[in-house]
Amino acid sequence: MKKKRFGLPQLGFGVGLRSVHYQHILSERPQVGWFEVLSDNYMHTRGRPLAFLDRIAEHYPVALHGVGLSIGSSDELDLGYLAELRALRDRVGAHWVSDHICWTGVNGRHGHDLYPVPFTEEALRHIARRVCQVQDYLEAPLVLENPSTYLEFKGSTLGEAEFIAALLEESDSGLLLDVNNVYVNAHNHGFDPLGYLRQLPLERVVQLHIAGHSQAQGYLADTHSAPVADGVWDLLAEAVRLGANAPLLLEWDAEIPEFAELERELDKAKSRWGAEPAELGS
Amino acid sequence: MRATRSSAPATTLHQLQSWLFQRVTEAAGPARSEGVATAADRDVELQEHVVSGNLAASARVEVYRHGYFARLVECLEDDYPALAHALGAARFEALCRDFIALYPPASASLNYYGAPLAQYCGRRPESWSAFAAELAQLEWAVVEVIHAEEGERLDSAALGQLSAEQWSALRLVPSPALRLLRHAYPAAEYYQAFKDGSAAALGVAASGGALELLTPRASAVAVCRRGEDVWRIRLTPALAELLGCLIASAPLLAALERWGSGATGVSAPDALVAPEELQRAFQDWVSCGLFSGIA
Repeated sequence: MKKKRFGLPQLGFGVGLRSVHYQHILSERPQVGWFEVLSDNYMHTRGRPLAFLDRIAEHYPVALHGVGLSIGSSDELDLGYLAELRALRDRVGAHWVSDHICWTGVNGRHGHDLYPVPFTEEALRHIARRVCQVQDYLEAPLVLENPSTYLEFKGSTLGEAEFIAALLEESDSGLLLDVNNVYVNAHNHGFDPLGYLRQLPLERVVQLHIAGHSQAQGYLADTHSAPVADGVWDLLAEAVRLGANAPLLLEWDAEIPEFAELERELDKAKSRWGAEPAELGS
Repeated sequence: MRATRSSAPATTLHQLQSWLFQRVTEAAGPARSEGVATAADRDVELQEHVVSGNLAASARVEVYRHGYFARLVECLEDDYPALAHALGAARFEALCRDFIALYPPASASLNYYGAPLAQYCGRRPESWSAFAAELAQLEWAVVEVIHAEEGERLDSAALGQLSAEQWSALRLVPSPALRLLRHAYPAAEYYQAFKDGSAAALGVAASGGALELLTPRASAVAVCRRGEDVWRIRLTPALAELLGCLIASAPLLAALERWGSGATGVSAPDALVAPEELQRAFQDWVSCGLFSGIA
């Protein structure tokens, strides 16, 4: 990585684009810095979703965020998926493309979930090689998110943060630091979230995620269905203090409220720093 | 040199993923699992592979197993809300779970996952299966036109400038976002009632409205998208026959003559459509964007 954040722009405070808000966004043009677009929802369509996205992308910067790349799968990379992803990126002028450090299926079958990878040298080499392939194809850095997980494998020989740090270095890729996921995983797997942050190469953070989670039976569930928890706000402040200076995005995917509530949630972030995130952490 | 902290037996990435995926996607727990002899063996494998900590290893796998089915049921419910309403929550979920077991997702996209549901409903043995199949077919047509390319829109003014000779040979190009459905049951009527909030659920056995749904009554509907709007145009069987001929690229005049002669197979009373009604229907089809142009 030659330049900070790979030279990608500081887009400020954004929210995840959801179909229930299309009309509001187009008619009211709310004051948000950018939208994160769930790429998979727009890749296998030539119809209405894409028409809305085209119109929104005319007025706002966008970045693509996927769940279907399956970068950690032992199956072959899906080149058809990559071709659609690149075409969508080019069509809407997305500033970057992100997905998760996970696998979503194997043996030609798809689970449509973000399954955890074992933190082994084999998985590290395998995923790093695939990230390089994807980056060559996209001719751009791939931005990888630390996912929320509910199990760890006994066969892991590395810690999660150590694995992610090594993967980013070996593949020269960017990090989408999901602060809520760090919080959720720290609870579910019993690690120290601050220690985790300190192990990450935060200069590689291209984007930050915040979201709400919920308490399930014996674990925290990354549901994106509630306001951001206080503990996540505190952890975000630590991440920023440690150097994770990047565009911030609020995710809300279930029980989606009116757009005004998303703006109020973003205002909490703005009020904490009193500035656009270009100054965060300075 | 990185520290090694594992005491687990060596398992390749592919083996580990195959093992977890099988556990996550099995429908009803140990009884349906493949390749594992006993529950005790399964537990040994689980303990070999998954860290427990503050939550049992089995509970951790169960989070993903629950998520697999819940996500697919939610996807089907998004695509088939009227069918879900008609069947009621419990019956719809049972239908979905049977469907998921037979049709595991084979694509990275969920956009088209629910495509075979109408066909699957039609093969079910229950009394509601034929109606459910047609309702599902209609809801899938809505999904398809939402994702279809819109195509050009036929310019109605251009039609007015055609010579008599051009009219006789005129063929219309259907919009890529047009579907024509002919049903034995009043599926389109039910769908409209669902949209209006007045649809009865099939589970309400005492409801006359619900029972009527299971009585065959021929209906037809054209589904088309223009811009943000999805149009559903309910058609008489006679008009559906004519529209079908036009979609099949029959020349307009030939289609009208064939249709007027009853050669389309529509029974005589159905075929009797007043010229004004025909004209109005044709204007509606053009103004709703059912056609993209002239061939």
